[in-house]
Amino acid sequence: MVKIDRLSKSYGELEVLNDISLEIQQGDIYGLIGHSGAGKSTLLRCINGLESYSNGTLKVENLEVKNFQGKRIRELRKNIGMIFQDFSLMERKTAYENIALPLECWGYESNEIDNRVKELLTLVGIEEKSNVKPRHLSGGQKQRVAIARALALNPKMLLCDEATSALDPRTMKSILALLREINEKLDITIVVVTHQMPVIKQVCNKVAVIDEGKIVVKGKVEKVFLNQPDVLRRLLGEEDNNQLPNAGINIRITYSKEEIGNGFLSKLARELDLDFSIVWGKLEKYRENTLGSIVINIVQDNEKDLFNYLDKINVNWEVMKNES
Amino acid sequence: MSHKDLELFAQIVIPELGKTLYMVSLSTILSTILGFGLAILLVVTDENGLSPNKLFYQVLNTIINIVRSFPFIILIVALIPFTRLVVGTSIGSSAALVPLVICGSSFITRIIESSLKGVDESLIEAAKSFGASNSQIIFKIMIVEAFPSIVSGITFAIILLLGATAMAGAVGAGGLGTVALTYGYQVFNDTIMYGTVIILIIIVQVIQMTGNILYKKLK
Repeated sequence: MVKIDRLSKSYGELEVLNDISLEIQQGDIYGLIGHSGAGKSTLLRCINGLESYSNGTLKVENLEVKNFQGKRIRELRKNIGMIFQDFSLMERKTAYENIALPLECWGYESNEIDNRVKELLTLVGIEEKSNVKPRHLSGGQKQRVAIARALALNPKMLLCDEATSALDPRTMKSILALLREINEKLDITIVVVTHQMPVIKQVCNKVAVIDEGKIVVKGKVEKVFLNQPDVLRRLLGEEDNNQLPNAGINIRITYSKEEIGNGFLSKLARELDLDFSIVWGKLEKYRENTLGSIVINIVQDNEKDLFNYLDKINVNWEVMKNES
Repeated sequence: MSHKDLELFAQIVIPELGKTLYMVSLSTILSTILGFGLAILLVVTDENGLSPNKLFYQVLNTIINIVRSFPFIILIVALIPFTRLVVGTSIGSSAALVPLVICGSSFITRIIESSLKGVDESLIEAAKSFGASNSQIIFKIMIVEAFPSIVSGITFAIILLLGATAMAGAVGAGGLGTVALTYGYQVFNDTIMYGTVIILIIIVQVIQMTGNILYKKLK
């Protein structure tokens, strides 16, 4: 659907995007995560031509976006909806009129517009707010209007620029659930830019971690989580090395509950006749899968057996460096 | 107030009030039309605009600044040759329209320009994202969104133009300004002068109130 190859962009001396390559397939919910200023929003805007890029290629359905201009870029954008952090609705128009706007701009007949808008209001679950202006709507409702507007022209893809960053956690969840529903029901490919890890965990099947204009790691969400690169740990807010004991060695184990099963730690203790202490741990839900991450501490001299055992049962592990 | 004064008031002030209203309303309409066009050109050609054109923007911007730096009374005098060319004379209400419109449109241009620039940039981005054309962005989105603030700016401009017509009275435009100056400053007829002032106060109040009500309704 979208194929980005060695894409770069710079403002004068400043490189905002550097050698970005990634592929988004039909039906994906692709997450682009990174700190603010990492270049993720710029990358998102390259997809619908709101931003230009200097080098490399970006193809949407095999067509190079850079070559599009005027009427043709507008046609392209018709097929790509977009929602924003601050909702970007017209304050003077009702929910209904906001959703109708793209249809009006593309010259649809008024009865066609009416049918489509009503359909969309139902889809996003705000039928009763049809004649209400944005200033009387909550953040979640405003984002629902924006989603309906973005879907008005039946796009194949939806771009979300920090769409849940201005919402409270509960509203965020409901908006994410809606995005997931849209993805599944309407088969719309979604690209999500965010700095919030829960967004990736709840909806994305693939993720690219972007730091200082570069892709640090990309792939299936579970895989990326299991490999846990430093950047991702920083994003998760788990730079906790200083809490770990200095004696012995600390080993981080990451695993998928589905693959390993529940009792693997007690099994490990029994089979190796090994004493260890759990010094840190977390279980997290990623879409339907549960992924765990724990740090255990053992005495230095029986590490070999443990390493062999961990390799045998095929979990991801690494020895953590003591920082002190 | 003597009977004679009242008669004079009716004979002089009422027709001159008509001239004032004629000058204010016509100059407002013409200035608004011109101002809208110029403001759209400025907003579109601005470096962050929909179709940036640095040279065009700077030329237009400078011209408006020059017009705006003239004190109105000087502008009237400076424009006399141009006014003669357009209207055929430099005296009377219609002649006063020329400097009034030039002053008024430069002012309204700035007002509409700043109202349009006040429209949320991400809203414009959203419009681009669903494929709206530049003219749709200007007319269906920016002007619609900025409309209440444009109306309140134009209210402000009407009051400014009313003041300007009074000043134009000093150089033969007629209207309430001429009355107040002639009877107040030259004849020292307080009744006529203060009567005129009271009428001006009422007009300003009505304009401002109407403007406020409209703004509230539109927002």
